[in-house]
Amino acid sequence: MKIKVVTAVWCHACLLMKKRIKALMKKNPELVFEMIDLDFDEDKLIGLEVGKILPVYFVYHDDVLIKRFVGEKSIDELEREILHAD
Amino acid sequence: MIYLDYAATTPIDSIVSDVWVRTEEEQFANANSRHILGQKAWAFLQMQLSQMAELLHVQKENLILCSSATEANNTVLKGLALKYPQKKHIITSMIEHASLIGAASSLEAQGYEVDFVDTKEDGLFDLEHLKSLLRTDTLVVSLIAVNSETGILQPLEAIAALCHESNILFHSDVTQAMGKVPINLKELDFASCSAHKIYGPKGIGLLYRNDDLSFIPLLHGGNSLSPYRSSTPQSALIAAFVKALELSMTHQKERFEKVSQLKTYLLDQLRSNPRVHINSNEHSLPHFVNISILKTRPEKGIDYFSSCDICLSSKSACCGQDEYSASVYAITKDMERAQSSYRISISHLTLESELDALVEAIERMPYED
Repeated sequence: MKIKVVTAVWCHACLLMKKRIKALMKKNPELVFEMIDLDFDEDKLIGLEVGKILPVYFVYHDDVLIKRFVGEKSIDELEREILHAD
Repeated sequence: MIYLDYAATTPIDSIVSDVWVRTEEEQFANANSRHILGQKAWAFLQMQLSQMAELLHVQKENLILCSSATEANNTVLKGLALKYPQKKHIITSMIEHASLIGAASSLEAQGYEVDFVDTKEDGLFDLEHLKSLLRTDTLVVSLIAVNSETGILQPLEAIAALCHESNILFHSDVTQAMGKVPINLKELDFASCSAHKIYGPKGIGLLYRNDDLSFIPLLHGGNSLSPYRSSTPQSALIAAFVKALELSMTHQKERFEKVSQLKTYLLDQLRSNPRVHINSNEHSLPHFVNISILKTRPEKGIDYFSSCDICLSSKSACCGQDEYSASVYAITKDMERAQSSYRISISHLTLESELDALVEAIERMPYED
């Protein structure tokens, strides 16, 4: 499962979530996270519906987008959102 | 136009702008030049630094003039990281200015771990939680002095004492506090602020460092006013900053009383409106009135007030949870209030008639679906 996460350096919740994402990656090494910077990764943002709230998570299964969700989450919430995405 | 967004920036005081223009005309020489005009400009700037140091009750060697509080925040975090590469842990909060978060994010990308101090229901930082986060490899604790949404003033001296018990450096962004309330800079290790929040010009900020504390500079060059920040000294901006600081310090008490009276006047009227809830609390500076207007959304509400010729703000333009103010939720535990909050920031320049117009506009404010 691959998760693209759109963040920005000035975003409080994005910084907070980075530690939680690292913890989740340690617990679930099969999850692949790709961090995308809203201000600097224009080419990687093409086709992604970012909206007003950061961070934005795009969950892919076999390269198919199966879920999009946003905002600050606890580690448990983040795990639930991703592992039960389909 | 009614301006009620003084926490975002302030109009320059005409006395300050006169100093700015006069200095630009009379002290245009490069203060680093050896010739007589350069020497005069240098002497002029030394006098300005001495005056600023006297106003802030510190030594002039403690003052590092820079372009903004954003630069000061970046400089202290990144400069300390360069100086102490073995310390890879930073403590901050969710109510910091975006520039502090930006600097911390940049370090996180280089392998630093960042922890956030909780706030309690009264909006003050949870010092027990802070204590539990302190580590031997903590590089710095950086916590803002005044929440820019609610105006809640944090107990800086208690935070500093807690950090110092563990020999950990404490930095505070005091931008929203400077000029409004007395600040004992000597209790802090580092502090950031800017001139444009105290009726001075944009483009000039200050990083204070306590005696004997240092970091690796980010801008290297000639040893100008400070070895910690090289560049040709901006004489006119510095003189204007000093004048703005002098005015804000000289008139601090009377301005504080005037703003307190205006806040009371506004709150007395707002309390009669059942749609309005007051979010600022007893720890908030009088310059900040944070309210929730139920059944409205700030993204449209700000446009509505603009159509009434009133300028104010909602929560800091950023991100995070589902479009609610984390600062307001922390002190109200009410999601509807957190999703409908507005920041009215007032000044000694504010008129009662302007507040009357705001109250009328709130009463006429359309409901959102």
